[in-house]
Amino acid sequence: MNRTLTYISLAISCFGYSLNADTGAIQFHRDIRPIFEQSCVECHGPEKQKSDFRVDDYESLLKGGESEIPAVVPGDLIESLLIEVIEAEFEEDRMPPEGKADPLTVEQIAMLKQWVTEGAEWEDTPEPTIDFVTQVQPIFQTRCYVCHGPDKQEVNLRTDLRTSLLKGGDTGSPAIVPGKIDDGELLKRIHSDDEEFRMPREGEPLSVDEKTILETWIAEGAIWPGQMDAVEEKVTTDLWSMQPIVKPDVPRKRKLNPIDTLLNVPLNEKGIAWNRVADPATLIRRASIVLTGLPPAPERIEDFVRKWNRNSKRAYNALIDELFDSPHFGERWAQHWLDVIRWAETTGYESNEFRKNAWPYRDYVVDAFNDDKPYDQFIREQLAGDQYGQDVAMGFLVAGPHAPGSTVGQNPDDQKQARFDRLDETIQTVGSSMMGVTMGCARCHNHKFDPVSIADYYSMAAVFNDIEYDHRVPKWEDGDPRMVADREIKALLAKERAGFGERGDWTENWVDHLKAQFPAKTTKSIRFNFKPGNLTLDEIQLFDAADSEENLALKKGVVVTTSKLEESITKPPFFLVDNRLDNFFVWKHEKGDSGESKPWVRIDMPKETTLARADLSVNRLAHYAWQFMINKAGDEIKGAVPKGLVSIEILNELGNWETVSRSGSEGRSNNYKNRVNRINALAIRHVDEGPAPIFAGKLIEPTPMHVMHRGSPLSPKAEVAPMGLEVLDGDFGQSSDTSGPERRVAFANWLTQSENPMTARVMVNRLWFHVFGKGIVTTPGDFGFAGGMPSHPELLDWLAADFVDEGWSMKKILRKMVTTDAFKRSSVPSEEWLTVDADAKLLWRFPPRWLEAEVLRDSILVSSGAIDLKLGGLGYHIYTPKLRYDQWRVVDNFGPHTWRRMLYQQRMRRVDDQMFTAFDFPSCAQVQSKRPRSTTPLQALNLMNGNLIVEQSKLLAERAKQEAGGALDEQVRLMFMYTLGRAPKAEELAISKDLATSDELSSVGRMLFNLNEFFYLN
Amino acid sequence: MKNPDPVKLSAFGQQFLDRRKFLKDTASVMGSFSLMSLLQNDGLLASEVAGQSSDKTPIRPIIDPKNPYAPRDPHFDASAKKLLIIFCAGAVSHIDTFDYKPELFKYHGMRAPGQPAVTFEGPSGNIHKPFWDFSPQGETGKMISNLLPNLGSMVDDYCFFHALHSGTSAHPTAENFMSTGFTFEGFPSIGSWVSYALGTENQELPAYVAINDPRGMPRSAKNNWGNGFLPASFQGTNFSAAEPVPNIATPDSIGSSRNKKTIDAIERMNAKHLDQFPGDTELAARIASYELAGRMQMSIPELTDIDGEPDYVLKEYGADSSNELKSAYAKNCILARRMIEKGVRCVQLFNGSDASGGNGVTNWDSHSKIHETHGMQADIMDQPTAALLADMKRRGLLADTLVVWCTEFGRMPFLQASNGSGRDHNAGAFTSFMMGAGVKKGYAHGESDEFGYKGAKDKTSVYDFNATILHLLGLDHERLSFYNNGLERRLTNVHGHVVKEVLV
Repeated sequence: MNRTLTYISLAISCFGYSLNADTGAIQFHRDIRPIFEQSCVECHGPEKQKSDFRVDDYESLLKGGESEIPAVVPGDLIESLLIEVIEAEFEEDRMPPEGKADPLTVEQIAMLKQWVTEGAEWEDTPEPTIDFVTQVQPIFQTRCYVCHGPDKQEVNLRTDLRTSLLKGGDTGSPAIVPGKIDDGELLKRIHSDDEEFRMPREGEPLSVDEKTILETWIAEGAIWPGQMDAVEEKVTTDLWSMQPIVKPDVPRKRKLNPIDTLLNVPLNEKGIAWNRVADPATLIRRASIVLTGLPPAPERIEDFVRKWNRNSKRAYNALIDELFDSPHFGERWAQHWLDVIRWAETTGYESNEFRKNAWPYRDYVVDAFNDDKPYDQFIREQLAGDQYGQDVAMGFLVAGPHAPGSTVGQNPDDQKQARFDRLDETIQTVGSSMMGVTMGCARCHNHKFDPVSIADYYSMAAVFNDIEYDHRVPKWEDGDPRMVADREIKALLAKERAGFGERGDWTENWVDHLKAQFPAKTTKSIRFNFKPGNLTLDEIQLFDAADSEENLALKKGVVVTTSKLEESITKPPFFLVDNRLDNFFVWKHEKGDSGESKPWVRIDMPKETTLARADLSVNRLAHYAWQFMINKAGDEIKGAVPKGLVSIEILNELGNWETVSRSGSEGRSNNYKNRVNRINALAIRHVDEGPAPIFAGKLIEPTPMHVMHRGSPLSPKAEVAPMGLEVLDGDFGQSSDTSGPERRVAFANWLTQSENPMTARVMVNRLWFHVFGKGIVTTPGDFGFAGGMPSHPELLDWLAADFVDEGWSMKKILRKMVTTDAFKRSSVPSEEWLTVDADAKLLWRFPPRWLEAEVLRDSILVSSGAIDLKLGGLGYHIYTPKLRYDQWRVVDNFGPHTWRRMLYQQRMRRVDDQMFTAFDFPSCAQVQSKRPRSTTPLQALNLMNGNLIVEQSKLLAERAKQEAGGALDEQVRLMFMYTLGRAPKAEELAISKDLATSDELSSVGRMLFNLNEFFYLN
Repeated sequence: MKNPDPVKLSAFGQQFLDRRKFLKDTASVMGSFSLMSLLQNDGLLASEVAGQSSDKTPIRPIIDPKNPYAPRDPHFDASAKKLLIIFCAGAVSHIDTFDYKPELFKYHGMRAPGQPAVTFEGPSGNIHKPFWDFSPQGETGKMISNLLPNLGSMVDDYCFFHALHSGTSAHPTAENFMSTGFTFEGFPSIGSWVSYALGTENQELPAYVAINDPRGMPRSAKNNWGNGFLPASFQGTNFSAAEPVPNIATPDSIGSSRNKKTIDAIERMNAKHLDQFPGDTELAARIASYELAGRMQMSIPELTDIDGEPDYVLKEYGADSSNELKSAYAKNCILARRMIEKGVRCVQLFNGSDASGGNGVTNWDSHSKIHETHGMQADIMDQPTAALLADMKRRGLLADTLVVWCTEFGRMPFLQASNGSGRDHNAGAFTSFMMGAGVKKGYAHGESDEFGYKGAKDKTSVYDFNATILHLLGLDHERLSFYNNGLERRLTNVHGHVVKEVLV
């Protein structure tokens, strides 16, 4: 395999064991070399020799680098510069430098000192003392082969192949790491006292001699005659869904859709007679709901029935054209896609914050379906929209829930865990929706059933390691009104700013931050002075020009100091330049705090830097990301700018602090003040009209990715490169140095190349599932061994191949599905065929089903005429605004502002909307490839007593009265037409009239909305 | 529990509630139809293929689509039929309540060996002795803090778990963990699993009810009683003595006699529609659900009518307290008892809500001023909860009910910050107890270390705790499962051992 594997030594966790292993004497190869490799060689090794010094060369150690002070003087701690620098009192002198490697642990320092004290013994690789064939192999044969040998490979590990030991079993951790006795499961297991963990599990533990042999063999490089150059066999699988797609030859039959030809084979084999075509009124309702999610209007039904009776084929094709052209087609199918990726507009978890401007992604999906965007392009844009001018599409990657960094506590381990949890959400989203693979199962160990290894999982994590759950300002097309406004306002700003002249300083209010502008100065230090009392800061950004976008405070080596930290605060000052939105209220100074009378913040740059602007903010998150959030006073939290900034100083070349900017308007001319006011007005305009941040993920610098042992981000093992699944040739030759966007583009290309057998199969099955109510594979998100098998394998392949052949057009393949005879069949049950094929898997009838929550609600509003079919934009809100840690509570789920399609009801995680949650509306937290369908008394209560029903029943009755005039028969007839799409039969008319006269007409509406027939798609 | 009285049902509803008649009338094909559908549930066959060991194959309850709540047999006999969970949200300090640690008095004001420098919210301070004195209680003489005198007096009935530990020290994830077995969002809650497995005895009431604290929902809100990926039938119904079930009442503008006419009309129309689709269980099931809804409309208001309780009961629970939070919680306690009495399968009673009203004020999260804030919470929780337990005992309800008193994690033996007045989160050790059907009395399982910082003996994970709850209800936590997205999902994920030591 070509995966780039770099084993890092895990000295930290294993030294306890090394020190206890023998008398305590330090061994260079075991104890010291790993420290050098982990912490020093990157800068002082074969690649780089900073200060002309390298630790992999004994002479260099003895001689020292540029300074010519010996790094190591055997036996002399005081004279050894190495010891001095690892224990240096000041951080800036200490090795390894911060950010280059983790600080040495107390144990590591102790060991290095002991090594020097003991004479700094240096050994090159010794001659091997162990003979594999006579000493090691017999141990494997007698004690290990029974479970991990040629005949049986428990946990996919075998001790007769060196490659298998190097790779390790299902935990994904190597069993042996040549030369490293502190790594590798094998030695840990044979040494363990824990009977559950120890190997061999059966019989006595290995003898001390045997253990020593294995340990020494590994220390000497695990030399294995004949297998040193062995290469692991390519991973293969017999999983059906990973075999190449073979388009079956379908015998041409006149007038028969190839899909029908394939469907009819098993029906004929079983001798099942299929149903006749349904009546046209049923058909138009079925097609309309399946394709657009909206019931047809009575006039349209009547028109269709008339045309059908003249020429059924032509009438039907015209109907299908109309439905595919309807903008509501995209809304309907977007809903399915959003379900699959559990898209919602709140974060979930404790604060469950509303994600401001997440909805543009929803509209992107609607448009994609309406425009018949080819599915391969749809995939590429959602994974790497930044590369295709479609930033908004990347809302896909951050569709799942996440715990904002500011809510997971201060413990760095918890924060690492939270980061990997967020990555996991992305991996699950991609895996389940586009790949049909339950990737989440491989987070802690190799997938139990499917050919997906833990290395595959983390390789995929590497692909998405440049995405963080956050907002970003997207790039829109040049012609987009937001971009037009952006250019226009910036031009006006430039003009106004020029008015201050070259030596002017002024401060702009940008709603969520201040821009302090001052004449460009070159300096290493800048200081911000504040008035004492109640002030807070979140971030300071530094720039070299009024309109520059490169934040110089993010440069490596920037140091932040402050006058005083608030006592209880645990956030370090560098959070002021961490570029994170969710670390807000970093620095506080409270009125009455003792000590400093003039609070200040100072930023030191690593080298002379030209500065001309500083942006200061308090809580950009509130402005960027929050909506419907209130403070304790009940006011909506909006952006705010820092208070109390007095002046900004820079340290000039003479070493004096020089004021470059002062706040306030004291002593400024009216002209000056007016100009500032005009600029502030432009700033507000830009916030309102320019490109706003959307929730489509923030791009960050990807760090190297490792396999995390047992899923714990605290146990990094082998480094992995960004890759798709190995079994599907997912190696695209990248490494940790590849940029984030290139990784995602390569992954998207791998997914959408025609050789990838999963992508097309998974999508056509999903489309089929929503057309017929059942998938050809009943587990649309899982095409693995634990998922369902296809009921019609040939048909699935035909659909998948045709989908790709037709340029991944979703409308084309859907059209083929809804124009089949199978789709048009009546759903009437047959006692005879129910016994053979109870749930109509073979489609001898169209399987009837309940409407989803959305279709039910939309149908009610369509019937009453209340629905507003406006497309897109911010959704409607049914909850009270909330405090950050409060819960969303339903306040009005029925009023006129909610009379839009339910797709536009803001999707919140973890709520009960007190109406449709009972109808299996998803909680949008765990991946759920299809909704369960429940029938519960709570549904009945909601539909009988909910305000929505009571109100809409009245509206329906009023509509009928208005349109029908005074005749009750006609009023009832209209109400039946609007709800059920058909006229009442005599007995039904009698029941309804009786109800209307003894009660009132709206009760007929309430009755109709509660009927099985209204709720049933047949 | 009695089955619903058949006389009260309409002829139509009766037809659908009577299984034998239902099957007979709709011909034998119906039987095979529903069974076939059930067997063809996703992944059922696949999971067998996928090589589960034969003795731990998933057991999936056979759910009758026309009544998903029909009572179902447990996997094996067990005395506990019902479950009451009292969840004290915000993290109750074990070392100030039930876990007596004399060393804390000795080391008061000092730093503990191996104490971490930084915990959940920041730097740690010195060890602080319990903020309340402890005294021996009951015949067992177990040392209990004077903070909870009423609960303390019943200590002989409890089975403590003193070495519980959680996998997370953040409230919402820890609530998720206790209630769903996962720290993540969206997994089915324990009550959902139980009602999925066992259905319920009383068809007139929801199978599973979650009662909020008067101050609002807990931090993880609906996760605690959500159905996750199980069918919505099995989600907890969320109401309390003060907050009714949404949409339970017929709107005033309609009134009951007019409502009756509409219901009759719906029945007649639905019956005619069913004639076109003979043998469709889904349609029949929905017709039956309207019958059940009608019955719930009668029985739920009856159930929540606490004011009908005799004065001495209201007084015993503290429902007459001038502390409004206490009296409201007391009413919830009475409601919980009435539910268990009437056969609700699983009741989850919350004490404490989210933090929107302030840490330590709306829940047990006492990062500062613990003496004041835990004192305030205990004043609300102690008497009503103890009265609930005593009342259940008197009425014999403990014979078939398992009571679980729990919290999401414990608190630190040292102060939060050097000059602090509260305790930070401690996922390393905390205490909960069980009581009633199937568990030992006057027993304690596990010990925390000398400071109550981490578990020391017989450590119990949340998985073990939940596995034990299921076991006490006659359910094998390794076999009760539901296929979702590639896996047979369980309450205990792939972990958990039943704590056999606590079983009677």
